[in-house]
Amino acid sequence: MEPLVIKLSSHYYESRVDRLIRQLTPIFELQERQTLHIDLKGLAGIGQPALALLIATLVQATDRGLVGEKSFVSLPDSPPVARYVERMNLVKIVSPTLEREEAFVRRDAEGFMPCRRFHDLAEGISVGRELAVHLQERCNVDDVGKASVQLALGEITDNVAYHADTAHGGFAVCQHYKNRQAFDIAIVDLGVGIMESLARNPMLPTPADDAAALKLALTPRITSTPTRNAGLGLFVTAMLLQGNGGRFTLRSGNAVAYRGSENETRLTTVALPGTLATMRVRSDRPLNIETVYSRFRKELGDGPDL
Amino acid sequence: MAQTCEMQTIRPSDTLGPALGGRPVAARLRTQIEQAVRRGSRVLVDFDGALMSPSFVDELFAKMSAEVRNSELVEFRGLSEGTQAFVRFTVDGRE
Repeated sequence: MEPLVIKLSSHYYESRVDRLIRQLTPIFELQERQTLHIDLKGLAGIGQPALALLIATLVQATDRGLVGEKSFVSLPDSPPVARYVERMNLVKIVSPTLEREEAFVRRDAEGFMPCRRFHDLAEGISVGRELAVHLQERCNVDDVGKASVQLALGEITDNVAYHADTAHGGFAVCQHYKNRQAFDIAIVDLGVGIMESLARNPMLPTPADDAAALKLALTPRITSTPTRNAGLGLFVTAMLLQGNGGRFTLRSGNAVAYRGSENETRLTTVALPGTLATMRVRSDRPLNIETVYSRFRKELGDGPDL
Repeated sequence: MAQTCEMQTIRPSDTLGPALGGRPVAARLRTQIEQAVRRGSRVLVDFDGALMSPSFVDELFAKMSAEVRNSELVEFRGLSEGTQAFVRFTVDGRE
């Protein structure tokens, strides 16, 4: 049988995540074992959301026994991109027995941290703590900023562990961009997605589409599990990044929502089976969850506007 | 005869660090406070130097029985005005 070729070329930053989802859809839809050829020769750059999604897709397909033994990865022609991809253990995920001609030397590159996987609440909290420590070591983030990132990440990993309804867990990646005074954190799961999760709460109105579901999910006190949860984690995370001048991006099904430096929710032409949350944090601006809470002082009722 | 009342001081950040997150941790702390109050002990919970996640606030304060939360035996100290407002908002959401 011919291998299923997934060919990634050029750049895959936030604006091209739709394209990546479209390219990965044959893997999402695999029903039987298939040899994969992940062709990254032309890959010139990849952002954290795309990287998290790519790794999650390949790991999940491997977990499900859908990746044939002869599957392989063609590394990027660009040496720095190839090194980056290798550090993320992408090759090992697809082809654990792949022999390299030259021994790969792992270097502690500035701003880099390998992908982290988590399966439950405790692991998610641990990953959040680890990412926060890593970012403080590499950025000018003070203790309050570090704690705020850690707490926001805990909210998102809690959502994965509790709402995504997937045995495959979640994946977190982060990267510091020194020249942009910013860092990105992406957390992805390939679970049921936000619309299906919210539908489990019969007290909520049924969203017309995925965009309406994302808007609902970003509204305070909206949760699929009101007995356990308060429905404030995503809202506070979005406000935190808004106050920092960064951005929170939430993508699920056929929709994406941007909050913070942009405020837009739109439908997409491709469907992500699961949820992808991305935090763009400015390391040159204050980041303080207390500032978010102080906005609740005068604006009670339904809470402050995002 | 005057009654003596045991006083318990809890500083969550001493054992958990300055970032207080995670529902299981908050639930354990809530149970500890509720049990102490039901025994008739006074409890001082000092949050000085700590930040809390929304889930932690919900699990600790909003899920705490109103009887315990409003008891004169419990004192929450070290909460900023902002966090106090958020706690009120979260508690209101469950009442």
